[in-house]
Amino acid sequence: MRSSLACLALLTALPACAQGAESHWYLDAHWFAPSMTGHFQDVSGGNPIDVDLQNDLALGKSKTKIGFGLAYEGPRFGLELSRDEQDYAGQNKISRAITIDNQTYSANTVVTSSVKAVNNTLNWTIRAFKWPQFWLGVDLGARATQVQIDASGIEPFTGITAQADYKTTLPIPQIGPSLGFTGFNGRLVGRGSYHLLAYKHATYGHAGGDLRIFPISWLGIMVFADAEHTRVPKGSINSDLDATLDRSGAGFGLVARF
Amino acid sequence: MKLGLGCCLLVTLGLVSCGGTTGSATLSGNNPAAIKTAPAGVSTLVFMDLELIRPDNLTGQTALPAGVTSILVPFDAPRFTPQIGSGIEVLTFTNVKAADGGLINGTIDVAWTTLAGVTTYVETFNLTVATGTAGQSWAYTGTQQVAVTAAANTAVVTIPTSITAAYTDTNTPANNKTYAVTILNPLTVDWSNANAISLSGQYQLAVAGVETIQVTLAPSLMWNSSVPCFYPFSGTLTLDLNSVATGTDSTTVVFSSTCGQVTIGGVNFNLGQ
Repeated sequence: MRSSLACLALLTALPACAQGAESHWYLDAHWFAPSMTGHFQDVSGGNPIDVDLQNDLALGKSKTKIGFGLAYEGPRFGLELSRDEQDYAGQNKISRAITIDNQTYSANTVVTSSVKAVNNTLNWTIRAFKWPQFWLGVDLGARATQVQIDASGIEPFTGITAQADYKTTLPIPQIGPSLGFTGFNGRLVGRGSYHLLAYKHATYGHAGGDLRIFPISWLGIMVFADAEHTRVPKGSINSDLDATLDRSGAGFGLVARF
Repeated sequence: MKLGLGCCLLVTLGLVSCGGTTGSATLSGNNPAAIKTAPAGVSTLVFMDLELIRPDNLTGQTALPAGVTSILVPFDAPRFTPQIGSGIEVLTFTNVKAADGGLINGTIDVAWTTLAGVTTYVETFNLTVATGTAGQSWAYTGTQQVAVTAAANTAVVTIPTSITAAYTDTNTPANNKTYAVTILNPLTVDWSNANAISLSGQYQLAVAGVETIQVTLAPSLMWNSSVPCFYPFSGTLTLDLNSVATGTDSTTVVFSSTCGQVTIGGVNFNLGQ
């Protein structure tokens, strides 16, 4: 613990050496429609669930809302706020019994489902090592992923329509190395990061990178890729929770610089 | 700088504390058509139709008051006209209301013999039910025996082989199904207390190679002869499904004091509608 704090203190102190670089604010509107797969299983909690997003619900991309981001990039620190939101939908004749919020759908039920995923990210970057066109640093932040599952199905035995919804928020600290560069007199700005978290046998990894091209000094386009994976085996965070969630994809957007 | 780091960590911790899970689950009976054709509904509705003639009313056929044309409980009586024969009675049904809300037409032949105080009524079904949806119908054929011990006001209902309940959907022939109705444990009827007529036992509906539904009547279905309702006012059917396609499942049908209202798997459903 002490060594971690010492490292953090060192990292926060190093950017003080960096001098003279420009500061910029970035405001972007982006489109990002990642694939999403995973499963949730926790049959002993207050909201029992046992469902696989792909195999049971056959989820596919349905609707993507425009996401927004606000970022500050200074000589020593960076700050990033972003939000994106996607809807997924599926209809499947399930081959096994599944449970969503204590509502069990027996095999052969045709289940119509929708999943809404909302991501809010706050990230603070310490640019520990800086060169004229390149920097290395560390990200400290958090990402809250909210997943809402709505399902409806007609029970084959009773003919009764059963509806269930399940909403969970997964707040995950974002800690890991990051790097960036600037080229062509600021016309090209790039950034990459990898966030990793491990607790007992649970792991979380989040890799991201974006490239911003400014044909004119204050307005540009951005392309980015993002991949996130969460593994929570039974007995790690919770004795009964077994979950995975994978999201990955590429996006693009418009970005204003001022 | 320290302040910035502190703020960032506080925000991070704040976000972490926001994690949580909520949810809800609801059942909806907004699709009676789906309930009527699902195995649970079928095994309830067919049974109600087959036990249309309550055993305690069979004995009344020998002492029908003048002008009374029905041995059924007061239910759609004007449409029902029994024809008295010698040792056999042919009960003709003309647009009598079925449990699924459709109309029953056809006949039940009732032949009886008495031996040592027990009168055995042999009921031979030849009925059809038009469900109310064009092209959809049921046909009931087969024989049921009701052995009435008049002195004790009790009866035992058995099905010697099986009664066939065949569902036909001319618009979607793939939905056609033929159920064999059998009685696993004899249905026992007791009306020694006239205001508490009980029916208990166990019956089964089966589609060969497809599914079996075993139905246990416990607590017993209860009628009150002073209440003008064809359907039980209390009692529970416990339904156990064994399906090749869906595996095993279980649900209950609970009768209420509101005439014809039951809950199937917790959802309200009205018989006769």
